[in-house]
Amino acid sequence: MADVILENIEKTYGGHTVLPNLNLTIEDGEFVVLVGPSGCGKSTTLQLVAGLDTVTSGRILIGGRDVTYAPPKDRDISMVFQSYALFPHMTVEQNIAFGPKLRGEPKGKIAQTVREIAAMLQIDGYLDRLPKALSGGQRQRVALARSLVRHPGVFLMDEPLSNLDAKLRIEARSLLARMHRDLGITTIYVTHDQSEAMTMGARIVVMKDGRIEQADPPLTVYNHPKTRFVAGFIGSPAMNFFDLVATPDGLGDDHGRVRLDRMGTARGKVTVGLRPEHIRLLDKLPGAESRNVVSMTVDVVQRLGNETLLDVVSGPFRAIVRADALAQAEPGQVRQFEFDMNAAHLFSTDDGQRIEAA
Amino acid sequence: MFNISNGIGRRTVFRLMAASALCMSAVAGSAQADPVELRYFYRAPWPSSEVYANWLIDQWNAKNGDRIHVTGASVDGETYKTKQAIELASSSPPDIFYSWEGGRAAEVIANGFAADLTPYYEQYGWKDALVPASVSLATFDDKQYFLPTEIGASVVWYRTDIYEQLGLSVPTTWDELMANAEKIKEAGITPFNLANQKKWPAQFMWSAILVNKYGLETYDGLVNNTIPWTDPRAVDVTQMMVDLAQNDMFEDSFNSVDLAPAFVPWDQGKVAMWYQGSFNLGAFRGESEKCCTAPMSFFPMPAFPDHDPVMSVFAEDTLMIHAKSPHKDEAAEFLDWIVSQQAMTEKLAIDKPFPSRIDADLTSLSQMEQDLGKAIAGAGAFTFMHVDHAVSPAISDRFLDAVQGALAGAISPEDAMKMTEEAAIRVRGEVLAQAQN
Amino acid sequence: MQISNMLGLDWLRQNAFVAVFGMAVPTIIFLLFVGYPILYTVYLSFFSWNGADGAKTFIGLQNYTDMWNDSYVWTALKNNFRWLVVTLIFPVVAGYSIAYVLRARLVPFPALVRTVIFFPVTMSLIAVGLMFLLILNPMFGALNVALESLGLGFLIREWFGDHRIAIYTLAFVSGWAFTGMPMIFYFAGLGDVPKETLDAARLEGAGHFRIATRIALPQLRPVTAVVVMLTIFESMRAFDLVAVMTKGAPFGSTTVLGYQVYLESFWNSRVGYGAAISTLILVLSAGLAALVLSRLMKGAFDG
Ligand SMILES: Nc1ncnc2c1ncn2[C@@H]1O[C@H](COP(=O)(O)OP(=O)(O)O)[C@@H](O)[C@H]1O
Ligand SMILES: [Mg+2]
Repeated sequence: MADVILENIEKTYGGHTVLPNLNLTIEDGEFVVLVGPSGCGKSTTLQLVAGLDTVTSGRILIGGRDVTYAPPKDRDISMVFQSYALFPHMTVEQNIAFGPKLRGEPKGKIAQTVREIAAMLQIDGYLDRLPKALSGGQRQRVALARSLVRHPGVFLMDEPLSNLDAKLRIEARSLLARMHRDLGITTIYVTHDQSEAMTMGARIVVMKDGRIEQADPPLTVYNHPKTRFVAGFIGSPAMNFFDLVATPDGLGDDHGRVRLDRMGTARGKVTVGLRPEHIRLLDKLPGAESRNVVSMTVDVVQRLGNETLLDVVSGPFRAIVRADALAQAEPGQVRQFEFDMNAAHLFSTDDGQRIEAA
Repeated sequence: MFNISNGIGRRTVFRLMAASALCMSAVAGSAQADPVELRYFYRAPWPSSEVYANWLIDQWNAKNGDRIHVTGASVDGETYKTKQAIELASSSPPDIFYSWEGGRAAEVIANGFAADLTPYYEQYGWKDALVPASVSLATFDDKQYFLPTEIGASVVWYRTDIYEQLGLSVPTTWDELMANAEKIKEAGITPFNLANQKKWPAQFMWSAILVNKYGLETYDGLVNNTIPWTDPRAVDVTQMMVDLAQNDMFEDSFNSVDLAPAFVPWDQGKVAMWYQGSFNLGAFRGESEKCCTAPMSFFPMPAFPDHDPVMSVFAEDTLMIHAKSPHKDEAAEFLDWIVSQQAMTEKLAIDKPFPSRIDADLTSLSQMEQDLGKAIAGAGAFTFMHVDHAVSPAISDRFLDAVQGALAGAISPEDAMKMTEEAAIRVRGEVLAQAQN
Repeated sequence: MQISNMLGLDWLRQNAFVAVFGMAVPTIIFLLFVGYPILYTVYLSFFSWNGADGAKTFIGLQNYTDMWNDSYVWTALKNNFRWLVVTLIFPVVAGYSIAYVLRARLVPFPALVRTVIFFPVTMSLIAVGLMFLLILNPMFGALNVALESLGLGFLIREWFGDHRIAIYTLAFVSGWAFTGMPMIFYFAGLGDVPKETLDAARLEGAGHFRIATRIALPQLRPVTAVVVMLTIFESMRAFDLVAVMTKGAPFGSTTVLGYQVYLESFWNSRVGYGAAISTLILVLSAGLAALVLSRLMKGAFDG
């Protein structure tokens, strides 16, 4: 059991800065998800924690111990890789027992632990097989078993589910969740998939270009995104943004296509964010007094069965609207949409920071 | 690096000369009708050999190119044999080609590649012009088959400074030689260089001892298949060589030292004597103007009681005319140019001694070399070749291996000679076995 | 479906160009440049021929029975195997180690090191041989001087003169010149080994030695198979170094089959006999290659 503290971590590769200055504290037993677009530095961060790479500057503490320059094996961590990284020439049993053997644990004890963990992960039937004779899900569980066998203080997982098909991924998610609940091991989990991040993390750390944009519980990140980037990254379909100008009269664009109620005291260029479910397709023409209604052209209709997604456009504006499964809309139609301004988010157009409307 | 090559400067000058001569000949020959084309296939073991061959060809072409035009092609010593086998058997063989003396020449003659040169020996008077020993080497069944162009001899080279310092005098008997060697060894100097890594050097001393101790007839009997190699006399000579080795008469690790590096301790005065061929004079001369880098002289291998000393003279470079050449007369004319006095004198300036012509002008050489030249010319027709020249390689290779093995103490002298005899029996069939019965 | 179609004839007809240039031409070239010389060598091995005149005499298996009784061929055969053992160990181990060290970035200037190590592969063996004649020279060779100055003078041997070690000296020189070859193969191969498997082993506490031998090497079996094949061919056709450095000396103890072929064919004018020894080399190489294919390659390319 251990907490992890990253202090002023900088990492550069030959002049190219990947992490400019990263600070993050992970509590003992916490399940933290690093999420962000590909190339934002998630794996690099994990590699630094694991000790597979060394920082350019900064400090890493695990369980209160400075391990910045300690070799991986002395960090009390274990890691699950996206590719599973099973040793292809070893059987499942040999794969799991590789570490314990190396550490000189007694044979009998190794055999017992391997059996227990294999049983827990339901791979005890395949101990004599080579990895190539296993399915993707089984390989994934072997990889889990191999990293569990050393009872690490910190569990590092780099996109462990992204090689699984959708169905297995759901299963594996709950397996990991159960494992964390039962064992309570501090976990740093990397994914580029925001929905995975939402469902798995006790806390989500959203990264962009090597910087942490926000580190909060999932619902906080969803409901109170600190930046326009986070707002756009978390949630699917993504939040819709409208670059508008705020005046004392309200929010609007130059051509009068959009007119919205004013939000707080912000003035000048602002970006309004609205999730697809907060834009409502109106069945009939609204009354004259109706507010926050925008007229837009339906471009594409995606019927998903349980709901319908409409791609709508108006001049430079583009939005996705979540509508009922049976919503009456055809491409090419010009329709009226009501914006739920109570659920709207406001960001500065210049720096993308959230503007509190209250 | 090991004083093997002559000075770069000299070589370059001759290259340039050769090139300009070539240009001149091209201009001179342009107006003429088709000349006879001769192909001259020579061996160039040293850089200087190449320069000299080019000089020969260019001079000839400048003078006679409109009538008889010569094109040369060379290979170094090592690859010659391989190339020769292919070229000689080809449908357009060279008109003139290098051949070894002795057993290898006999092989070429037996295969019908060599034209009988006896008429040309008559026509050009080569018999009288050339060193008698070399003519006798060219003679097979009373006919001459090659023209010796360079000859050599094996002698005991010695460091005059060491001899002087130790108060030694030039030995005239084997026992005196051995007494000198003992004193040299006591003085902490190696008595003899052997440099036997490539296994051929040891045979020089072996054959010289055999000829001088048991007579030329005995040696001829061995190489001409009338005496088996297992003969006690051959075993005895091998034993003598082994005794010398065990008595530290040769340098340390003599089976690991190649010829070229052995010149280093020689030049440093760490070795007093060396029984080797005169073809090493280029290396002894090194970068010096005249021979030699180290103060040195030579004496012939001293005699044993009851025997006259015999010097080993060999034809180092020999030329044959191909039996299938359509231009034998023209080829002979070119050969006569090669052994002309002018060409032979030039050879001394460019290449190394010794010319095969009796009346070649040796005055450009050091006194020692002139003395040796005279000794060779005066050696008479009685001589012997070292084993690897005298017999076919199938036998001599085994012989060389066997002697090297005996010197290393890996096999007994008896077994060494038995090994040689086995190879000989395979090559020459049952002839000798019957003669023995 | 028509029979012709089932046989692929339709496909062939439609793809005549591919059929001719893709299959027929390579086959013909192979037969012409590889098959014919091999068959001719085997054919010659049943004759007695001096290589000069036209007279070849058919002597059946005489050359082969001669070979059986030829102590030089036996020595050469043993030497080829000694050579093989040395070159299977020294350059392959060294080449792999260097490749690993370069991949793991354990040395500075990896590109330079790689080039330097590979350079001897591009050198002619003649030049390599001459160079080592100097280095191993008993009088002033660099190796002995170095050993002496390191206080290891007791290790000095007659590298070429001692018939018990001369063949190993040659094999080591050959190994020196050959090290770049396995290195470059393993270097390329290591690039394809998933980095994560190496990282995973590192996390478990494996050091470089264990990662190199227990994790990376087992994943490189196809590369090892190719390297072993190359080494076999290299040592079975050994010739140049012997010709340059020892000519079989001391007393024939460093001869190899390739050198015997040369001696017999060109020096002793026994072309048929030389061809018989060539055939032996061929059979040995093919046999060993088959062995490697069946053992080492088995399953090497699976999953
Ligand atoms: N070893 C490396 N050398 C150079 N650049 C690297 C290296 N590893 C990662 N990078 C760069 O660092 C950035 C972050 O990579 P990474 O941490 O793998 O991103 P991700 O968030 O997708 O896991 C990328 O631009 C990548 O190209
Ligand atoms: Mg990544």
